[in-house]
Amino acid sequence: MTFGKSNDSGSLRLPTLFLICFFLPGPVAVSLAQTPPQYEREAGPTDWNVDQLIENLAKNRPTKVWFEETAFSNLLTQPLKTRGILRFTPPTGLEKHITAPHDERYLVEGDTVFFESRTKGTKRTFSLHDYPVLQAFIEAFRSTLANDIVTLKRFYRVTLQGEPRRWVLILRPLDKAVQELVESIQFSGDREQVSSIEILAPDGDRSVMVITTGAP
Amino acid sequence: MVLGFTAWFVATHAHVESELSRLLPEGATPTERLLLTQLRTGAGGRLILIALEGEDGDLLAGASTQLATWMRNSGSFHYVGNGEQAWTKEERERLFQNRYVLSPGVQESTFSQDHLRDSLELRLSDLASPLSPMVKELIPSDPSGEFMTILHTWMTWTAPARHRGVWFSSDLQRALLVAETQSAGFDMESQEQLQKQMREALRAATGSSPGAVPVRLVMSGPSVIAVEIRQTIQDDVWWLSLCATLLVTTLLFVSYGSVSVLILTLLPLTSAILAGIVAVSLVFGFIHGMTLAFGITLLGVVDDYPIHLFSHLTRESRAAAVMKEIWPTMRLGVVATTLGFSALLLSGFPGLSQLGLFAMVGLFTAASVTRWVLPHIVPIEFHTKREGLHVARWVDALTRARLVVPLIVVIAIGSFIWSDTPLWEQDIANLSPISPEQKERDQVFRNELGVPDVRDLIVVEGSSEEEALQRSETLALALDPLVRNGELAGYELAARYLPSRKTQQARQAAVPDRETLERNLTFAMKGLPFKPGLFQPFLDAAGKARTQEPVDIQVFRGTALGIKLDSLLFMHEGRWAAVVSLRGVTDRQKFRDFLTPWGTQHITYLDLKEESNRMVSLYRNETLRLLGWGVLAIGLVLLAGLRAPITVLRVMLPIGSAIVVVAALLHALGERFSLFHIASFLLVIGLGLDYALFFNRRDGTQAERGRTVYGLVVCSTTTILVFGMLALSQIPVLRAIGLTTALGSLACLVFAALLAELPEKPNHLAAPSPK
Repeated sequence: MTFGKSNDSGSLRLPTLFLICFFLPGPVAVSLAQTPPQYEREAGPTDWNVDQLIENLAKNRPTKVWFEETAFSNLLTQPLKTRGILRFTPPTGLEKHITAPHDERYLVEGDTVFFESRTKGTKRTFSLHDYPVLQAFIEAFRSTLANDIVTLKRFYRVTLQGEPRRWVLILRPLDKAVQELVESIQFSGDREQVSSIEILAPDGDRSVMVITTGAP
Repeated sequence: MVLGFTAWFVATHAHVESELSRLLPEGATPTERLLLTQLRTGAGGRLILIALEGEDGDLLAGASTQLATWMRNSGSFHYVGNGEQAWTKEERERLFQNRYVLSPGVQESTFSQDHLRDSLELRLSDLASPLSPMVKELIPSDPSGEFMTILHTWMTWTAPARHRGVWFSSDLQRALLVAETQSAGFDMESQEQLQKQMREALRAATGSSPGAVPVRLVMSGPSVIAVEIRQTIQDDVWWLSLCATLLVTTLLFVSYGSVSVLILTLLPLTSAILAGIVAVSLVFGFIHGMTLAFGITLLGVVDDYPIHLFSHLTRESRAAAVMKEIWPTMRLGVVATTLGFSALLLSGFPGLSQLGLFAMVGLFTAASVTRWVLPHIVPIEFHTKREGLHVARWVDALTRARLVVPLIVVIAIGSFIWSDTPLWEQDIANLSPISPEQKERDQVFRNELGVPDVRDLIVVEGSSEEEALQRSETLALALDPLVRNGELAGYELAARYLPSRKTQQARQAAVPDRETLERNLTFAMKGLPFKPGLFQPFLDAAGKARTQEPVDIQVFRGTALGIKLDSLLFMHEGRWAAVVSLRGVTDRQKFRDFLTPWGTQHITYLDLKEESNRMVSLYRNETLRLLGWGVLAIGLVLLAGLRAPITVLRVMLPIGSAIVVVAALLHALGERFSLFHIASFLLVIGLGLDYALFFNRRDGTQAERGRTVYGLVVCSTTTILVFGMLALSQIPVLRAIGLTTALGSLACLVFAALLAELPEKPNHLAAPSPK
């Protein structure tokens, strides 16, 4: 099936540094573009590794964080910005509540997603299974923050870059269908705090979510 | 020899049909015929609701996918739904190409500057959502979101919850599936076969994991329930017949003390059944299982014939001579009963006609076998050991209490007059043998799958497909306000999926020419961050939509939706009918009134439940009328045979009284009368005739009379035993037949005895003298 698709891309790729600096009021995050690949670690039994990192992340996970997301789409001449709150109710609950510029809520519990848009006046419930991309997206958050390395590795090839003080966790989808829509999801952070999450699509589209623990 | 040949014919040629709809008449009005067509072939009857339970969710989801795949590949189903993607890529493509004629979102204002602006703002929020990777590719060619509108409109029901991509109950304990079979719902054989295959397929698919709790397959739906009921009936009938056979065999053995006589008693009945099957098969081409079951019931009376013969055999008499002696009485009974049953033959109800023919041929055969075959093969040394004199004396004593009869009849009639209980069963659902558990399970499945039991329909007719569609669209506009204010939960119609050409053309006209559209779009995009030239695919598609050929039913051929459309829009007797099925009608009378201004010309409102009840009442009345004619015919035959109106009265009166009293008794017990009670009364008339004729047979000695009475008591006891067992059944229909016949047989015997001609004094005095 060939739906119309814009071929224009690339021009939207703003430097990540700019983005992070511009939208980051909280702890300073280190973006991938800025970090030199000093050493790269596959998840393995070394003194500091993926297992240890996500264990730490889960231990120090706040129940509620604020985010600011910037979506770069090659359909658009400008990025789209949204703000909102992420909530975690382990082990399987996750909520993304976009509060501005419109009101939209995605409530995940297990395999079920409840979607509500106050702006559009719609409510829907659907199964994550039907939206592999969304599931991959959610597992990236959920498994990473719930210390569920097994599930995480079912969906992604996991790479860790940097050092405990400043690190980047790169998730690359294993599933072919997901690969067509998502190239990678990168968690950046310092110590046991996630500071930003960047999603990269193969067509160059990108969204960067900057996370703060206090209200912006 | 003849018996052997007949048995061979039956075994090789008789075709026992189990499809219930073949017993139904063609229907008198187009509406009735349409209803019957729907009942016979309608999608509702072919629905199977399936649940998989007993395992954890992930395993159940896997089992659901495996079972659904097997079902889809089996070719036995029109449609199998388990929540996996409903549309193939190719189908989605087809829909997408026709989005501007199919989407109800396309209206005059859809492509105006303001409206386009709103649409574009919504698309921006889509792009900012987590769903963006999945929806973004649609935006350049469908900025107003018509494709999503189509999918949304078509999802008229709230889909069940999902887990791992398949439907689940809301508590995630059961995986749910729904399927529509190819074969008709009443085709019990293939439905049963199919259900068995599904169980096997599931076992084969899930059996591999050792130690796991097996996945349980639970099914519901009309055909599943029908198959289960048939099983229940068979089980019930099996053990009831076993008990009845044991009781009757014991009774006959005690009465006659001979095994060979016992076997001979069965000869007329067996020949009667075989002859009946052959006759019905030859005339109708098939015999229905129901005819066979009821026919054998009606033929219960022929068991009396050999009993009469054996009861009259004494040490001195020869069988052939005895037969000749009792033959006139028996013959009169046979002819009169046959004539009574012949009324059934004339009914317009194929089921009753088959039954009539079966019973008539059976009666004649049994009588002939008793008359011309039995006397020659009965063991020469056999004779009744019991003279039955004491029974006769006791029975004759009853005549002194004959005034009891009118008294009871008066009480019976009075109880009818002062009773509040409705006389007739108006709701055939109450006759249904569906257990409360089955009903509840069906309800739970239907609620969770969102497939309500269709009860209310509107049939919209037109001379062409287009006219029917247009009329149903107009009707839909009137129904929408009812849905909004809650008088109607919802409705389903073909035009939702396939709009009339008129509607499609109106949508095409709503798409502005390229120049206007481009201008509107440019205005709408002002200040929004969409790239210039992004919506080129949209402009092209809109241009194409303006000139495209309207979509017809062919577009949906071979898809699940195409099958659905076939049941919602079809040709019936040269006219097109669009069926609007309604959900949740709160007030049927109000709804009927609401539809009255629409006239009955093209729009008919059908309450399927009421309609089928009405039809069954019609058949009941028809049978009742035929019963009246049958009684008249019996009276005339008796008059011709007995030549004395007073004797005719003496024969008919006990039967009439028995029927009135039994009816009153059943009524007092809370039974409401149905077709099945009437059919049973027909049998009671047959039995009663036999009893009354023999009671009033005054030829012969006191000893002879003793044997007659003794035979009658044996006859009646067998009947009461057999049907009394049937009355114990948990199935309402069988209970009705059993109770009516057992009580009827008893009442006929007692009343015939009470009202029999007073024994002449000299005879009475002479009776003890030989001792």
